[in-house]
Amino acid sequence: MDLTPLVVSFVTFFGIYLILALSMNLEYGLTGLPNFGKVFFYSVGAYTSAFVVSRLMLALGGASLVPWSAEAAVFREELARSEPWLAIGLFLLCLVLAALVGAALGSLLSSPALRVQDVYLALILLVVAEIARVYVRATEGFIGGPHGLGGIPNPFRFIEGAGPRGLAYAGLVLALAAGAYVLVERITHSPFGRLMKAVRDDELAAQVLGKRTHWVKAQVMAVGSALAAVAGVLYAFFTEFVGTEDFDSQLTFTVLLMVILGGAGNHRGVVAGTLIMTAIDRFTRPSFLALLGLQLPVDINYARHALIGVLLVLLILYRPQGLAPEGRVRTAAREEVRHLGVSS
Amino acid sequence: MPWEELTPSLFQGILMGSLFVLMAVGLTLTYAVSRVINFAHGELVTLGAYAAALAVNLSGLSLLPALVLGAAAGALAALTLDELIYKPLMARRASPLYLLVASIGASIILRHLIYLAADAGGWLNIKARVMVDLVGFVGYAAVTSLHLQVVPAALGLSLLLHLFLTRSRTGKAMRALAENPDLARASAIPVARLRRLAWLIAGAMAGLGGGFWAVYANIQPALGALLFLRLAAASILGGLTNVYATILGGYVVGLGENVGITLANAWAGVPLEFRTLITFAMVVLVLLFRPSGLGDLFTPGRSRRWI
Amino acid sequence: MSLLEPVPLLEVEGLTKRFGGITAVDGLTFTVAEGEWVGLIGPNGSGKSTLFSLLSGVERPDGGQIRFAGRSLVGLPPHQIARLGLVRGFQIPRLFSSMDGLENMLVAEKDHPGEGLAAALAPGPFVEAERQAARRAAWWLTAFGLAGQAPLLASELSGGQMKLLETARALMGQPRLLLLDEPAAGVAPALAQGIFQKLRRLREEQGITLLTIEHRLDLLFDHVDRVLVLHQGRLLADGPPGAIAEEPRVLEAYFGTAHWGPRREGAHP
Repeated sequence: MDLTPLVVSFVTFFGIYLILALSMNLEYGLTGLPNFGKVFFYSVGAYTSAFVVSRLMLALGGASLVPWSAEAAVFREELARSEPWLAIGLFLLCLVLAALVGAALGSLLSSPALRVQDVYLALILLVVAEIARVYVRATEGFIGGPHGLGGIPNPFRFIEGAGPRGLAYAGLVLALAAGAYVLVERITHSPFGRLMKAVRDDELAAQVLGKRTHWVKAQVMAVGSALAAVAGVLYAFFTEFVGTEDFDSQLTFTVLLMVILGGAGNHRGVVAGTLIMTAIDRFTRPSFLALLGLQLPVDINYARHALIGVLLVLLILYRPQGLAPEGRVRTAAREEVRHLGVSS
Repeated sequence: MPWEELTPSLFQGILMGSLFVLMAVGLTLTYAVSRVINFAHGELVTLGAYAAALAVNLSGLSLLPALVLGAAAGALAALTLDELIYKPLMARRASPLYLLVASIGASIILRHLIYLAADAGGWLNIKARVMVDLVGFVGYAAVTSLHLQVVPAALGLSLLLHLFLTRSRTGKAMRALAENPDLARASAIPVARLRRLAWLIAGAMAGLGGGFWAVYANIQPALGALLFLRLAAASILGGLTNVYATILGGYVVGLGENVGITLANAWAGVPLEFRTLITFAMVVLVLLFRPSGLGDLFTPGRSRRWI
Repeated sequence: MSLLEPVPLLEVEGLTKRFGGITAVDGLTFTVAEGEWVGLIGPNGSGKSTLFSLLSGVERPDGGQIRFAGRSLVGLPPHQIARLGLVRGFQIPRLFSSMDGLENMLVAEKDHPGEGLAAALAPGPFVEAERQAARRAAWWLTAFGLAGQAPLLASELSGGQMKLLETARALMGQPRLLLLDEPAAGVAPALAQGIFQKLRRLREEQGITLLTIEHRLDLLFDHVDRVLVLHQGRLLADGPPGAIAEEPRVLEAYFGTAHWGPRREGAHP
């Protein structure tokens, strides 16, 4: 029994979900910004990849094909196989571009928070995600409209054999997720992180202490959305295909569940929450059950979603604080005044 | 554009608007009375649609009793949701955002339970086998028996709800509860009973709307989820709290998605696929700039009208 | 006003705020000089808290002018007003409830160079600023007898401690003018006197200007230079505590009678 595909998909999705969950934790858990449009910023990364790669590779390879056609997809896969550096370079370019576009859109879409809070903000961002999905789906000239766009070649296309290639990519995703973890930890345990929590706890109190809270929110949304866009890039180059159906708001809620399950505000808890949710997500796939020789009387895909819903409701009902408590902001200040008993 | 060419979208808009009214009024009512934005409201529509369609297709029931069954299914599910999830949460002083998240969870649960059942029964994509008769033409628009049932049902029930809220003791108490829950709790108003009644009414109207939908088009377990943001749009246009403005909101959405897009297409070449974007754009603008929605129209000078 | 008189730190002129049909603050005009301690009294609903909200930019006035150190504050957002040196407390303390005492204090650090996103990613050069802030926070916490409460979450404090922490936090923000809304509410009478003495010392040592709402007039009159009396959004009286205590219109508005509450003799000169 070859477990490689299973390991690859588990690790890759864990990494992608972790980046999403950490970004959600930064926004919602620590700053109190319910970014219910998370999937939109994720899709931004995927769309950017699809758009840039499809056009650039055809241009560089001198092929005049319709970017979203099947021939163009095959052409790109072939080109990536023969030109490893081109494929890797394009991948890196997409990461940078998507992060920039994500950051710009994130800070832009923090502006509703100037006027509305909480539930209204959540609804606005949710609807924005839906608007984007409908728009991209109805616009063929972007990423092929309803059919989506294939042939976004994996940067490790040059590695022969799906197993080793997948493992290499999974390793890369995991490394980037680790980088995201270090990033959000640094931000959280800094004076800026303290300010984020102040904005969440009482925005007005922070304002009358001289803090530009809207700027804090804009920066947090920029970082969070850049991270989400990076996750979208990783997804696009993993599945090598981008279509609008993958960016349903259901994903936003799954990510939110990871955050609430782990404990909003605690990144380590969110890692645990993501691990649990990824396990539930990946080990309830028909392909995995088939591997175990299991035959269920019901469609496991529906049962999985029902289970996710049940988990969400039970958590909110019985353990809204999640697995891990939030903890204090750790900066140099704590050592400096250790005598006050604050060094914990 | 000659008016005849606009009549099909006008009649379609009126039909959709009426369906949206049926489905959205309950969302407004439950928000006003219990301050929960019930994301699972769409699933109440789905349940009603399936109950009605299966009643017709499997037991050969005629339309009216099937619709009643659909309404009952919606009502029962609505009450269960409130008793099992929202009431206990509010007793624990959960934040509005957590209530919203819980309702999203409830919606996911219900939807996929419906999926499981529909998958097992082979009903993933069905339609109530009810004949829709052609009554005649207005311009180029075909007017069917469905128009003659849905529009009066939506308007009639809205009127009934209006009379209930303004004339009956219970209805007045419900409005008082919506206006000021704390005061209501402190006075002699039977809060728990009124709340149950509100959820029953909301579920019944959603279920009825779903029942009609099963006659109008094919249904699937994601029906309510797909419709939710649009029916919520009607409610949001109603400021989430005002039943009359929600009725207006339902028709604004229905006509916007039909007449509006037809005109935009004819004049500005806007693709027809963008029809829901008209609604979503309205939702964003209203949430941002006019959270009381169209409610102001009914109460000039006052900030917000509660149901 | 002669040229020799000091320029007032705060000048309020014709300030008006309406909520629906109610005029909460109605054409209010007064000044506060630099280094002065002014008490603000008036019955409930007389517009005291609304005035604080207008001064701090939380509410926008419908009319009138506010000048602080010669600069107009009308239309400025709260954070800019605070950075100019006008810091306020709230009647019901608004602490950062999920943060401990130390963190609450540190948020108030003014112009903290390490508070940006870039500094979060490369904290090296800003560690000293953070340490300095911590020392200042510890000093204020100790001054207000809260050193032992520094590790506790704000939500775990008693009502009186919350009040103290909010005052300490406002002072951490280095105000030129400090607006305090009942700083001694919820604390024991003996402690209340201590708080006012502390504020007096601060004012003498650091030259802070104070505008303080307080219902315990005996406490207030012991310390302030001048008292403003608000009634239905208007300024009813403005003068030294001694004169205010004898002003019949004030007594009438405040108590509906010509008697002050229990007050120690000699509280006013």
